[in-house]
Amino acid sequence: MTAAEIRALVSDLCLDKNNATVSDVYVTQILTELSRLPSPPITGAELVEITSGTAEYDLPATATSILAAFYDTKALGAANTSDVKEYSSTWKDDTGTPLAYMMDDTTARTFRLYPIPDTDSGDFSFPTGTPLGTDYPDDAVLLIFGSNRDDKVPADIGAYVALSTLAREFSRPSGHQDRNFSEACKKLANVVGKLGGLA
Amino acid sequence: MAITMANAAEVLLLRVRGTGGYAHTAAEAKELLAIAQHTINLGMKRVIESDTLTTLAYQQIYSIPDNLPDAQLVVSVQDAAGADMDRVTLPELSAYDNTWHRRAGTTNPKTWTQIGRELLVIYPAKTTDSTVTVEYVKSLYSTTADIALEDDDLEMMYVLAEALILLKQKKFAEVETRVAFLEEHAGIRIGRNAIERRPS
Repeated sequence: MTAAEIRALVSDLCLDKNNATVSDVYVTQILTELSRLPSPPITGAELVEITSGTAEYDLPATATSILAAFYDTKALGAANTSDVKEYSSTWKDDTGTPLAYMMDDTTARTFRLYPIPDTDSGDFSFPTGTPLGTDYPDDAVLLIFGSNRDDKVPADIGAYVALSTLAREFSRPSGHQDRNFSEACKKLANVVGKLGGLA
Repeated sequence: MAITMANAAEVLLLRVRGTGGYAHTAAEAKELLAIAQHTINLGMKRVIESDTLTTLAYQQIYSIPDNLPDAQLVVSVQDAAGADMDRVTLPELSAYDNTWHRRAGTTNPKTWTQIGRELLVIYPAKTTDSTVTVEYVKSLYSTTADIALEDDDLEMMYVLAEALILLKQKKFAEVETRVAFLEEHAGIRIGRNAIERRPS
């Protein structure tokens, strides 16, 4: 299902009594919450090109949580700023081969490497079209992440998002507030979520 | 004989017909049946298919939508010689080998993991192109294809689709009975949802 199809299902299930603008916000919010679960249903893997001397990098466009990160051939540990401060009082200036990544502010859509890389990534031109295979560049970061991508969502996830959206939309104070409808949507969302393995 | 989606939609609309009820179109019924069939199949893992995945030299991470577009949940993977590979979780794989993403050799891969619905990891990679056979729960989300679930699971499909239609009609007590039926027959326990249970 696409985002448009999820939104159409939201409107269809409530006979267009929702506020479409508010529902759209909930759809995005719920997809993002799902992407931050320990086992998110929508995932992705992308390489990030590294520049020597640069500590902070943008997350891939739809990434909201990092499930695993690697620098060159090694796994990176997850750390927060206080961990790194404890490890090194000069952490902001330390350079070398990255050992850890930090994503303290999940709304910032960036991550930071510690220590600051001192080597540029190898060629990102991927001549054989296999960036994660033969063309894998040296000294790059590979991120495996939870994603809130909404262009092609499995139907059960789409239905879960639509029902959860309705549960929120009809529980908030508004001219169309309907707690019974909201509660029924929530129960059905749980049924669909359980069947689809949302643990 | 296969049940067409049009026939299933007729059955569904007959089942929810009641006085004072909202009229539903066949198109609406088909959409809800498609969602219900897909979801029940995912929960019960009934319609399983297999496909060959061409594995590329030095590559371990594969996009499921790009390579196995009908796959939802991978249930098993066999290497090129037909041997079953072991299933592990991502944390188990990382604990076993924290350089797993670049591990490659000449022998057949030994383990696999699915990360979300979208990524399949075949570990270790081979240094040459090869193949694996992937068995998976098939996506049954279609408003045009014949119903693929077997008789034993049709009732659950209809009940879930009914529940969605009854929700539109605001027949909450009837929705409740359908939820209870699904809880009993699909072996699921309805509690807090995935987002509500997130670790704080």
